Amino acid sequence: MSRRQMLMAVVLGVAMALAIAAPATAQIQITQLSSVDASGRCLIRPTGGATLYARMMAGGLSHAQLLHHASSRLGFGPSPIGPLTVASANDCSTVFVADELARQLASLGAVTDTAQLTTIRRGVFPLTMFDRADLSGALWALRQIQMATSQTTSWEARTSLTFLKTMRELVGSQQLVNGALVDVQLNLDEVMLELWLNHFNIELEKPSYYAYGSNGYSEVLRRAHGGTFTTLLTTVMRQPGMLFYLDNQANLCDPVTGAASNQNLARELLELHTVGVGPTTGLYAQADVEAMASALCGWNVVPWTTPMATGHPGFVFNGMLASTKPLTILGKTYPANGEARVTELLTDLSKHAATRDALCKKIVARFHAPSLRTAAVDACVTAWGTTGDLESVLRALLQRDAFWTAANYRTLQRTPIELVVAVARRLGVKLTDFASATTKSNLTETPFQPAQMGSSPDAIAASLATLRGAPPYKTIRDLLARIELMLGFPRLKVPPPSGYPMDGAAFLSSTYVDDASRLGLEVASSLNLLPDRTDLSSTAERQSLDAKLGSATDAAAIEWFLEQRMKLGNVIPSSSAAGFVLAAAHVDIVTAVIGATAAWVVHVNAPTVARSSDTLLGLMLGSAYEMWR
Amino acid sequence: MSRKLLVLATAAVAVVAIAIATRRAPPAPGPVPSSSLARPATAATAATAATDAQAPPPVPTPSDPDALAGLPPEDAEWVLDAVARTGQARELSAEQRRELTAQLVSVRTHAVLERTEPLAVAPQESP
Repeated sequence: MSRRQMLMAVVLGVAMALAIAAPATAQIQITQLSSVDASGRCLIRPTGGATLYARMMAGGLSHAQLLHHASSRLGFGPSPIGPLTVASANDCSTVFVADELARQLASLGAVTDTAQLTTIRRGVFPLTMFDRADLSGALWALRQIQMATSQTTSWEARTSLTFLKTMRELVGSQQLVNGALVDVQLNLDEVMLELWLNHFNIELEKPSYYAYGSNGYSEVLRRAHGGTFTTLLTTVMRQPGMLFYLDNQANLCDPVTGAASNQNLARELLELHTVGVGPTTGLYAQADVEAMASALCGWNVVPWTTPMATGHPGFVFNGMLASTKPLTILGKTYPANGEARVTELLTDLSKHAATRDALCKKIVARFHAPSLRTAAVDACVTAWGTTGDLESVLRALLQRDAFWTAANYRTLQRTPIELVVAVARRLGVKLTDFASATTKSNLTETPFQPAQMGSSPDAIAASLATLRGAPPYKTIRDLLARIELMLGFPRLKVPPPSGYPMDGAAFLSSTYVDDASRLGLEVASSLNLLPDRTDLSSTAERQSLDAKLGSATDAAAIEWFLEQRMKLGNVIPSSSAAGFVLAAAHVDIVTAVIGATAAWVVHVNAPTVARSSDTLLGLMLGSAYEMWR
Repeated sequence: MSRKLLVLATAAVAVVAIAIATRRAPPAPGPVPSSSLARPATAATAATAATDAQAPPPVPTPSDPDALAGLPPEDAEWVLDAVARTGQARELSAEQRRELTAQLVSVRTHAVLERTEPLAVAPQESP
């Protein structure tokens, strides 16, 4: 053995010994965010998120900005709940976010509700708990006995899915740690699910019975978006909700000519879901749409009135309705081999370069400023692979410095959904407030099961009436009404197959900005419906601010409230170490308005200091500032 | 045969002949040519359809082929035509025709229910 070989062996041996002897590095806990040394460096280093941490630090944003950026782009806006807040951001919070982001990337599509959220779900949205086939069968049976109850129960089954989605966005990032409520600020699973639900938009009302329940359309997508785009597309195209929404259940092939009677699904599959362009762009022609429609004949739903075993997918390939002719689509000829032909077609479409490019543009637009998109799309295309590995795509985008730079910070407009949810989160909406209100309303037990619906319609109607009168139900319904007003449609009931614009700038108008300007007050009033809540619009918080305003200058009281209560960080420009800083003009407005009671929010009976907190909330949360993410 | 019976028989034949002659043709299946046509109906058109609808038909039980009788005539004809054309071209057995009928009746029933008695209706309580 040469001297050089010996040296290498020794080095290798030492390295192995160190690796064996070194204790497993523990991931930072949310209770350890103050573990920094004198220089401000976190004593606990990132583990799974080490690469992400390095990229975050390379972008040039402060720790406060990094947390604000992460919670706004990869969640639904910052919350003042728990120790991880913009106001207290430091190196440890960045370490935590990096590790948490790595964890959430790895668990896309596999997130489970917390125990408290499950309590709320069972109590307030019980119709989301049951198997779609069971629920549909029960609704059908109920219809034979009492039409009105069946109809309102069906409405409830659809509406409750929007309740559940919104609740997961509001408080899905919150959990109890050692009995204390904390918010990890990131909610990547729900962010991505919203993108995919909108990409594969269906108006839940149309397929109705085909889309409800614990394995209805939105819940199935929730479990399917963590793998590859090929898997996601194949899953969606077997969903009875999608098939019925785009009329493929009525798509029959002429037994002689093979011509399809309905092209809706075929057209949107090409134009919206995959290659992303119309039939006049040269990539494909009308003949391709017609051939695709023929291929989809027989790609059908199981009649919803047919008794089905629990867990039945609701999809059926009916060979009697299928085309028996070979079909040429996008230049490739597919033989008539039944269900396998459609599966092959969907796989080919999902892997098409135009699909990859269209999807990369859509995903990148959700996360990046316009000026950064070209390079980000290139990174996405590289990470896409052959099947569209969605976790790899996201990881590649988030592991680029560009995502974490000032050029990408607060450069996108929130959608109406994001805006309402973000304002509620900013106010300090709490998972535990909803959970305790659910318990206090005696809604902890599921009030009915599908099996009971056919036998006791009056009891069902009474249970639903009780449900609708309960504070947590009213609160979430009120918040959804705000979303509906600004979005133009109820959630999950957006009519066009193309969904709603995910660029919030598309909603901007004088009316929209006017509505947004009142959101702080209005969302606070929605939360008022919850008894004993402890968010920032609660009576106790108002009294704190009012007392402060009575004993300090207006400016000091404002700063105290924004920084200490709302945990916005250094919000006044004169403060040092800018983290979350109001525009000077905005501070002037806040100061001027708060100092002139005549300009406070009009409250006919008491335009006094008692309304100052409402005024402040309205100004802060309904401002243009909050419309950016 | 008495003269009275002869008149009755002639009248019966005439009624049947008129019924056959005035029988509505089933809707012709064919491709939907336009993307704009392909979009689902708006709430406004759905509401118009609901307003235009006559009294709701008897509620069928779609898993039973006999439920065909519960569909409005034009919908029943659509099903019959599809089953007849497909059955003839594919040489379907009687059992296969029954299966196909049940499938198509269910599809059609959903549409009928939607335009007569909606499946879902919001509660009337104040928000």
